[in-house]
Amino acid sequence: MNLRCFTYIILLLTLFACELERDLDIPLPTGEKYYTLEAYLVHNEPYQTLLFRSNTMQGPVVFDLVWNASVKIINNTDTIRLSNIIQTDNTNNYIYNYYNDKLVDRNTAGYELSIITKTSDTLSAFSLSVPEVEIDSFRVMNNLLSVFTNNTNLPGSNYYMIRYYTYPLGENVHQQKVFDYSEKPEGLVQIDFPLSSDSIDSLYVNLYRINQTAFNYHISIEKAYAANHDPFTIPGPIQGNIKNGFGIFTCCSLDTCMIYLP
Amino acid sequence: MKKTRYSIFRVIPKQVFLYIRSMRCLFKFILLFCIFSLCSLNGIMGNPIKGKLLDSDTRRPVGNALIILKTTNTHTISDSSGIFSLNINTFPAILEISHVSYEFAEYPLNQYTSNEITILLIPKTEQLESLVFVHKNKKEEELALKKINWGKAKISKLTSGFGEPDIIRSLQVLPGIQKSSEINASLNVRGSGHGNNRISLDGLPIYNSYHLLGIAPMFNAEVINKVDLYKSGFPASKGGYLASYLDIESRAPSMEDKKLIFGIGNLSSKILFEGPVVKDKIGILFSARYAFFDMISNIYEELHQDREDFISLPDYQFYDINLVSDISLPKYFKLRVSFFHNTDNFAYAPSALKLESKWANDLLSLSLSRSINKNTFIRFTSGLSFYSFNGKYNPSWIIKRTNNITSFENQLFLSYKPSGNWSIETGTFLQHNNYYLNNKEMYPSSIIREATFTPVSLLWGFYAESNFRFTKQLSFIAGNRFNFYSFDQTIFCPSPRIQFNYSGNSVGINMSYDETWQFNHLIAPLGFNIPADLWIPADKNIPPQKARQIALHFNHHHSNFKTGAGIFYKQFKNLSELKNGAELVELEPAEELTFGTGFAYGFETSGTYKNKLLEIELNYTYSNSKRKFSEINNGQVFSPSYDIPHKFDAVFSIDITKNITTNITWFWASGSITTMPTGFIFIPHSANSNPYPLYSERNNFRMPATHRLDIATVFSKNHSWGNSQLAIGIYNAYNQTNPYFLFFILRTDEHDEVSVIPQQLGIFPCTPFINFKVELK
Repeated sequence: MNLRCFTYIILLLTLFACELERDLDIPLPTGEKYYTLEAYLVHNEPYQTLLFRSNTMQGPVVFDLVWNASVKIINNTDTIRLSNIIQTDNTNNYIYNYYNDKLVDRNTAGYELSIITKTSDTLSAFSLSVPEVEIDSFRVMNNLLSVFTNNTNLPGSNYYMIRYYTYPLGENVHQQKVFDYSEKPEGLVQIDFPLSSDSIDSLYVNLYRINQTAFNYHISIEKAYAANHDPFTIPGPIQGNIKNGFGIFTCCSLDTCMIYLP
Repeated sequence: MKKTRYSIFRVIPKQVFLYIRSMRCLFKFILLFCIFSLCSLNGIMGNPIKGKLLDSDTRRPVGNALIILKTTNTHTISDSSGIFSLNINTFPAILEISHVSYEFAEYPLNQYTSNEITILLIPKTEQLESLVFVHKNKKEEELALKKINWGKAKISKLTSGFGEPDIIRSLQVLPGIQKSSEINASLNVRGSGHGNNRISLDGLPIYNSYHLLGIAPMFNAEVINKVDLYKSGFPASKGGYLASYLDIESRAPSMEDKKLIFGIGNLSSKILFEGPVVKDKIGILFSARYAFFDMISNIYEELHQDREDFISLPDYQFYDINLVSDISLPKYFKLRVSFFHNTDNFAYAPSALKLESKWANDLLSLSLSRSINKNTFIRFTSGLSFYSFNGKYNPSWIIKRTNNITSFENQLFLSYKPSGNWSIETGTFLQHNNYYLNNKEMYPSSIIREATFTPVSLLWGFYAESNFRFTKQLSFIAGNRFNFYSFDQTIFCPSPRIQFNYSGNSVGINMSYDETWQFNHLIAPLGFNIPADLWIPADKNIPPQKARQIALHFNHHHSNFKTGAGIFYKQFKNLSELKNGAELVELEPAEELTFGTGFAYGFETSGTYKNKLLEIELNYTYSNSKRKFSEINNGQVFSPSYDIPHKFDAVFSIDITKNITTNITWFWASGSITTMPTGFIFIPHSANSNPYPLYSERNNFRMPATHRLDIATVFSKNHSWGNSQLAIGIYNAYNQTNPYFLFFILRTDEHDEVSVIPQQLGIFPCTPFINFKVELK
């Protein structure tokens, strides 16, 4: 038989035999449902938090909001009780299920969180306040967003988060990333962030100053996510600051800007 | 000019440089001592009979054959060029020659001759080009690793992975050797990681021994002469690694006849040429292979790209080159020059992600040896081994990694037998390693962060081993390897080892104790091995690894049956693991690694039955391997990914006719260990709307058990112009898709209920293969 013909037959047999993926009938690891909280206390914005529970590998996947809990945030002089009300942030479509319209005071040194759920489970956390942040200038060049701001001389306060929203053809695209500038000197620093698309009409940029706890939290969730698909990232636990639960309770300051691209 | 002269050592401290100089002095001394001793002994012994053993068909040299003078039981072993030398005082005499792959032969000598005699040996089978595992001391090997003592034809039959003999996959069916996944070509010997094995070709290390991620054989069986594997009872000449030593030696090229081989198969095509450059003086062997997997992936994509669930295949190419030259020098000195090169290119872009990588091994080895007389052998090996990996990973920005290792190794080996019951092996070694690791995280136009790590290490020392035979049955071996490891300081790491052997008529017992050190760490984030794994040398922040092993083996043979069993216990110290959440982009290795201890124990057994038509081999291994790291799983004991408690292998080889052989192999093994999330959360305020996994413990889940049946039939035919061989078979005959990766998807059912569905990715379900080979005389 012609060798080439024979080889092609074998190749085709090989190719048609390929079955790359299939469902697997295995018992999945068991785990508990954990309370999870996200609370960013932004200066001069209302107190708002999101309290929900995680999913296990068994059972249906739901976004399991926790209702009727007693949520208190305590500063030096005041106790703020948050009501169980669904609130939506129209800028980013975030939702919160505990809210108080009182504004976060920038001059408070720190905040304590205390939660007692309907089933008498307790969660608590503490966060120090951070200095104000201000966008000095910005630029977009070669599909790279550069934001300039000033580092402070306070230890532990030179962590940043950039969150931007783009509006190409009316579609809202949201990206965020945290940055550690704690080893940079006081003064002007440049924070670079690559844009996800080169067909951007306009850009709404949020620059947050966050503390180290929040920075570590974001890094750990990025890594946990990456470990699911990136072979070079080792799975690790999510590092939050919520006692008896997951998530983050943190103070932050915010400055924003709108960029229209030619 | 002085700086230029010592440029290779310019980056190491002065005290290390002094050690190198002292090493050179020691080296000179030992060399002079050896030459002096050998010259003296040569004078005492008189003029021996010198001879050469050749294969009767191919006229290739036959090495490692046992030559016994019948009247006195004086004996010697032929070297890799088939040369031997034996002192004979009285004539007439008869030489008895035995070799595992050749018929027993007797050669009468009526009178003394000063000319070299040539003896032709008749091969036991017609498959001359396949592998053979030959060991330094057959008697000892039968005790410790009896199952490896296979003949050439049997190995060739057993290891037909996709039609080509595969050394690594052959070893994976042996008791005590696990594999961390079905496809991967890692060797996990007795509860150790793949990085704890020394894999060497012609005396030089190969740092990455994979083609096609382990699917295709790394070493071309056509150019391999022998394979030695040590799992315990390590000779003192072997050191620097914890688990095993796999020595692969290239075949001696024919000094008389020319030969040309062509081969084509599913995975690769190959060509081999060998023959004399100067007859009986210089022989050369050249071999090259080229894989055309990219052609397969292109055809696959053309056929399937319209499907909704289409997943593209990666582009993959590899090629390798072997070049071996043997040169006969005056005074029976032999020089071997061996060169090996391979390059693999891999590119995969299933979605927005893009992964490109290229890796290569280069090896140049020079070996000068001489069998002075029947009691003395000397060999000096020197060479360079270079491994490079370049990878580019493009999630939304670019991550680039470069990982190079350059090893300069030298070893002097001397074996000497002062009396019939006593033998000595001694020598020196020097290994100088340069590492270059560079990680970049960058945007197309600028670098975000970059880390470069360029350590240099030096391992040197000497070793000595004594083998004393008390009686015909009982022997004792004791040795030590004195390691000196230098980075910015020098540490002394002695490596003692002892063995007791009992060898009766049908029963053998071997007990051994070994201490081994390893001065580098292989960082394998996946749990199984890929070319991107990092080799990191020990330094002041990264301690060298240490292992202690005690093993006991028993074997028995009766008629056509052979059985063997063994137990082992190992302790590990200073093993490394990546910390939780470690990212290899941020490369300060010491900051990303954590160190701990471990232990492993197990039971191994095997049995074979052989007659003229049928050969059956059954192997079973039970093992338990555990690790304890203070920074992982809260200091609790956990299993490494390659902890495979049960493994069973069955191999059947049936000679249907003289020219048709069928091989059937089946294995069953417990699943490997992996890390699975125990839950997940949605984080609305994050960059991603997908669920985030919640990991509780490292290595908390055992994957499903794996099993597979492979069948292959080899048709051989002799022609006037040479011979041909056609191998046809089925890989995974009953279509068992063993999981290579596990992952999860969210699926919505008809009631709009979303649930987590585990999925597995298998690599090769039922896959036919073919391999055709033509050998021209």
